[in-house]
Amino acid sequence: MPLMPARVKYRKAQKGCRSGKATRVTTLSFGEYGLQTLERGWVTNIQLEAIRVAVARHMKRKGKIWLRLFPDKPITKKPAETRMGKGKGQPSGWVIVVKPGNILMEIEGVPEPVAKEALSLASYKLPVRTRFLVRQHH
Amino acid sequence: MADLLLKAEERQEKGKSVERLRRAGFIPAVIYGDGKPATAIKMDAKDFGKVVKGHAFENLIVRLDLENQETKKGRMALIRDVQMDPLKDCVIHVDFQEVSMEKKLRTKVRVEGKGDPMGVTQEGGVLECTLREVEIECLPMNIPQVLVVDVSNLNLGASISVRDIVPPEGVDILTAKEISVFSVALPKMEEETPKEAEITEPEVIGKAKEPAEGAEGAAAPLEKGEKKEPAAQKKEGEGKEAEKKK
Repeated sequence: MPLMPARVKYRKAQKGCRSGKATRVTTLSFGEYGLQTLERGWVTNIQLEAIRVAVARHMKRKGKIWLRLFPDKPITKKPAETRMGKGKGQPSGWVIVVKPGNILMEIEGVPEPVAKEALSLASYKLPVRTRFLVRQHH
Repeated sequence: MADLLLKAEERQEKGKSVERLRRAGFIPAVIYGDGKPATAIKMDAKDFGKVVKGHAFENLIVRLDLENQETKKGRMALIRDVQMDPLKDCVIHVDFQEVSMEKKLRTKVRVEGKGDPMGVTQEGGVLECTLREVEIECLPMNIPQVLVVDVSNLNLGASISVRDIVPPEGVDILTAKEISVFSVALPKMEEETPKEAEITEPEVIGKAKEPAEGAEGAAAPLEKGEKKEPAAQKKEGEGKEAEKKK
């Protein structure tokens, strides 16, 4: 089952804004390698699950994966061929609001070329540009 | 330990005006410690880059040559913290802690594993690093850049704790001895999620569970929409009939 909250206070949420850069979840905290977003947008729970599966398969189930963000924002959709109005549509999915600088995923336990390839495969499944990060010891 | 001299000067710009400093090619910083009040300083970004080039920022000791200072020798300072811009990878701010070369100080040092564990190469395990830094106490001259631990003898299920780290002479490790640093574990088998998994709505806090009809409607919004259409068509049809009657 895709990621979604177990309990929520409200079923539907407003669209909200995505302005600014990320101020939290911007550094590698757990793994050696990470995937950082360079654009703002919505990442759905299905896309998140898709990148998790793609990375896990490429790593041949070795190593560890951390998903740093959780899809906790409900999005709604009106049915097809419906006239406008008559209230907000029904919940259709869950998204994460990502901003430039957010770390989406971290991995560890595989060599760097494998990690780079795995996260490159994951980046194709995302609606935002990303880059590969390596933990640096400044 | 190399003698690294870094030129800096006191700054008056504080708060939001610091951004102007950065645009002008300076890095804002602060120096504190050794019983003296904190002083806001700035330094040339290029100078800082040249000085720290080839060194790790962590626990680097520099001699800060502050202009208009009484002491010409400069103040020995430890780079305590470096704030980086997550997108541009440039230094935003630096914390210097003034240190006395005769007094012991506490700091954190990175732990690094050396070698390929047997549990990984022969038994198919995964090396997990549970602790990346340990706290140490030593003289500023003796701060190691990294503590290297040999992990090549680690078997599956075995672990190395803080007590197994051999610190260099004059260095005391303060982190609790029983904390695990490296371990070799079996990789977790990822469960493949069935494709036909039902997508259900989460429970709404503070609301009683809706009757079955409501749940059905929420689970399948399309069906609800489809039901609405005939109703809308009926209304349109009724309107036309009414016009004809008139």
